[in-house]
Amino acid sequence: MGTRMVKPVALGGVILIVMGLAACGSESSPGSSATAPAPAAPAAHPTGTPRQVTPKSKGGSPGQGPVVISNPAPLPGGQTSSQKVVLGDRTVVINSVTRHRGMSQSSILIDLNLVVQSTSGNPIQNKEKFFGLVGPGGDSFAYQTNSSDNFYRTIGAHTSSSGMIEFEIPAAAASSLYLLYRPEIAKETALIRLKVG
Amino acid sequence: MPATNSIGVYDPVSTTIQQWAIPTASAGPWDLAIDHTGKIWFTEHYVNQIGSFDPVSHTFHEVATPATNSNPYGIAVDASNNVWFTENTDAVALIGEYTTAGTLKEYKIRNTQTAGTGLTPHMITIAPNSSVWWSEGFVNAIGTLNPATAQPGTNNGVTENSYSPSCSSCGSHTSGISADKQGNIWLDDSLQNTFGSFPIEGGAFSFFNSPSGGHPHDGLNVDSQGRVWFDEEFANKLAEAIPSGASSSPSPSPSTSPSTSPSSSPSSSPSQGTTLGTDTFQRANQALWGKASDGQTWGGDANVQGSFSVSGNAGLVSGTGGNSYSAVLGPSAANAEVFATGSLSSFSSSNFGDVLRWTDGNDWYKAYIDGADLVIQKKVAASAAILATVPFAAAGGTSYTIHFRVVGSTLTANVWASSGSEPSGWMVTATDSSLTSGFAGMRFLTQSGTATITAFRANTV
Repeated sequence: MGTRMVKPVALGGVILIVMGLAACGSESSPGSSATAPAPAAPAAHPTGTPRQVTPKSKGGSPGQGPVVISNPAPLPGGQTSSQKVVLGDRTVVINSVTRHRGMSQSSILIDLNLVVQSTSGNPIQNKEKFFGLVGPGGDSFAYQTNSSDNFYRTIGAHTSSSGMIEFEIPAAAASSLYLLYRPEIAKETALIRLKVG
Repeated sequence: MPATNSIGVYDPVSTTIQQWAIPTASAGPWDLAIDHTGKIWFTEHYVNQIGSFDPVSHTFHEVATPATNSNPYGIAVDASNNVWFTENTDAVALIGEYTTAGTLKEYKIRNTQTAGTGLTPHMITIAPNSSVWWSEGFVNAIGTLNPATAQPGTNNGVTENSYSPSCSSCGSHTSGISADKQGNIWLDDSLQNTFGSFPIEGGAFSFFNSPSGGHPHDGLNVDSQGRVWFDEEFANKLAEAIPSGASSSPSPSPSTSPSTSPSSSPSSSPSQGTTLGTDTFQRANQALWGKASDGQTWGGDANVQGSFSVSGNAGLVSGTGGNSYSAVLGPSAANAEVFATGSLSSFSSSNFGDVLRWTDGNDWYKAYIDGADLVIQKKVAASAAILATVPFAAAGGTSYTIHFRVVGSTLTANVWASSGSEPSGWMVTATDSSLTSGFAGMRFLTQSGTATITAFRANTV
């Protein structure tokens, strides 16, 4: 594993060993321990400095992931939370993102004021299920508590629909939010970092 | 790999990587598990699907869940080769099982409404006794399902075990979860910066601080020697915890007793002729609408959005811009009616009216006036539609009373100047069966103007 034992810490009946690792945070199968063999004595821990490996490609080809916008630029003269996302047949303009107190102390409301514009010669769909929030822990939030009453509708060619949509999410999830926009054309899926004003 | 929408394999000996594109674009492949035939199963978090990949034939198979926006998250395979996964969005909050026979079953975690609760089933694992365990995200709990008593479509066999976070201001996010062979479920809480265990047979949680305080997250596993490994995401570290032998159990800090969430059944609707709520707004000026004159607290947006206030013994809603906001009062009911009296300073692109069978701002029936018409409208799953319209000229600054009733699938409404009396018969009638129950209240679109409400009453019929 190319790891180095840094600091064993006794904590009650538990011994903690923190190990440096070149890259972590990846997810692994949570079910793998269920069929593991019977416990044995702990093995000796490897020592040495972490070794960074750049794997070589053995073939295959990647698929198409979403458009990821990590550093949005505010619109000229717009609010700091504003941005414009240009996709193949439409643009999504976020005029503002604001947060409000939620229905309970543990929840907050996130309001997005949006304009969705068809930029092609064809009508596009604008549906509630196209919009979701992704929190810092990877959780998705799709529950919209409110929206402007005529925002969700078919948008004609070269026309737009504007309005507010509102999500209720746990307050603890509000620190780093992305908007997951997945319209009827899957290849136009976008993951958009939100700056909450 | 969500960014490249592919499944990959890394060979640590040759340090090579190979990947295969997932058929559905931008599917968001998230967690994976390997079944007993070597097939790779994975959740497709950005869509409502799970998938499998046969590493021999290099073929994919995808399975959709019934719910849109289910956002599958964690996945695990049980001893019988059934595939279990979490449906992460709190509006959905289900446990899915895709059986070896190719049947998709879904189990509720709660019988009550979960939207907006923060119940976000996260990672999932299988205990040696075949029970299914999952972390519950923002509700500081882990859940378990006994497959022997489980029934699809219900939460039979489900138990939620919650703990009290030691840091009350940190938030809580129960993330990683794994079972050991000594009868414990191990978990971590990324916002509390703790990891801990819970006995499979029940008992108390034991928690320990994460050594680096670096956000212990999804990647928690117990290895074949009983060691607990977890990622410290923001510290760029991997932590290993070695539980002592059976003779020396861990000293927890802090330890909390589990509480099992009740599986409450929905409350019954009020009987016919029951008053649901009344408000005369005879109270001191205040921000928001607060408590009604009958002692009940206004819901919806009335105690959240700054557009709402009480002034001059009237409930005001000012400057909503292009947004519409709701105020609801009292318990949910099926057949009910609302009488609301008030005025709008201007009807320019504005309206106000009564709502019935309201569950949130995206699901309701509404009878409103917009200066030119009395309109019955519905909004279901955020999509609005006009059901019926009758001309009715209304003037800004004049007080009107709107009477809206729904019985079964019949919606009826009247409106009249408050100085007069209600017309005999109904001015407008519509039929719709999309919504069956909900709250009573009002909904406002005032642009830059102000709605002034002087009386509200709702009752069952």
